[in-house]
Amino acid sequence: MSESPPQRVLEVTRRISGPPERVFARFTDDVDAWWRRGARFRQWPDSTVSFTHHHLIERRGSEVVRRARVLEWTPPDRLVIELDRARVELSFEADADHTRVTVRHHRPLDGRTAFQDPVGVRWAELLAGLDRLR
Amino acid sequence: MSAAVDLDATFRALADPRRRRILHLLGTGSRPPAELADALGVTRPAVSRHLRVLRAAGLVAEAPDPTDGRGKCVTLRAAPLRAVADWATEAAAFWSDQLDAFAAFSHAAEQASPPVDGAEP
Repeated sequence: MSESPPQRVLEVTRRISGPPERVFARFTDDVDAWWRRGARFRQWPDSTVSFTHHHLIERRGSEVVRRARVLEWTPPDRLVIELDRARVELSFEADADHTRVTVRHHRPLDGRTAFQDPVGVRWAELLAGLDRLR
Repeated sequence: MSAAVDLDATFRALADPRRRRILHLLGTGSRPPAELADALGVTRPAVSRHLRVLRAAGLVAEAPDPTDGRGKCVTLRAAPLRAVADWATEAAAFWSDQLDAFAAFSHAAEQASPPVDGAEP
């Protein structure tokens, strides 16, 4: 397990129907239509979520919570948010008549060595193996 | 994700290959610091510095050496490692689910209003 450090950046990619301009607009303008419901994703089951200039907010009646802070808004290529103390970078790249959407979810650090160690999931398996030795 | 474990400290501790080597060695059983220094080919003060970082992250603990009451033995603590693995698993699952939902939504939207030649819908 000494060959590489554990990942601080988790990457997930999907190929989405439509060009980046439309995909970015749907991702942001229609966020409430696709952002999943359930305790893992929302504070309330009957809430609505929407992007403002600076935040992703969740609203139920007069109650409002900030789910994420918008750090960078560069349509149609890039969106960066801070979610649960983590920096999350979303890129939107044209791929024929589709768009490749990539999420890079960083672990927040102290700023000195932040965001330097992208590694694969194998590390987690190694950690689990080490755990079993205990 | 575990609230009790400082993941940032864990990542910092694991960033150094010698500290990962120490954890690997401790994965097979507790060892005195001198043995760790020999195995790594570093001085005792150097291994003490690494152990201090690992201890601060909760990755190791020291206890009296059962074979030598005057000495100390270093033991692996697995909870922070488990927290790192949990974080990776949960973050991956969160975004996989979200992007699957977004892909389905976007696909349905494309089907409902296909693009017109030369113009955005």
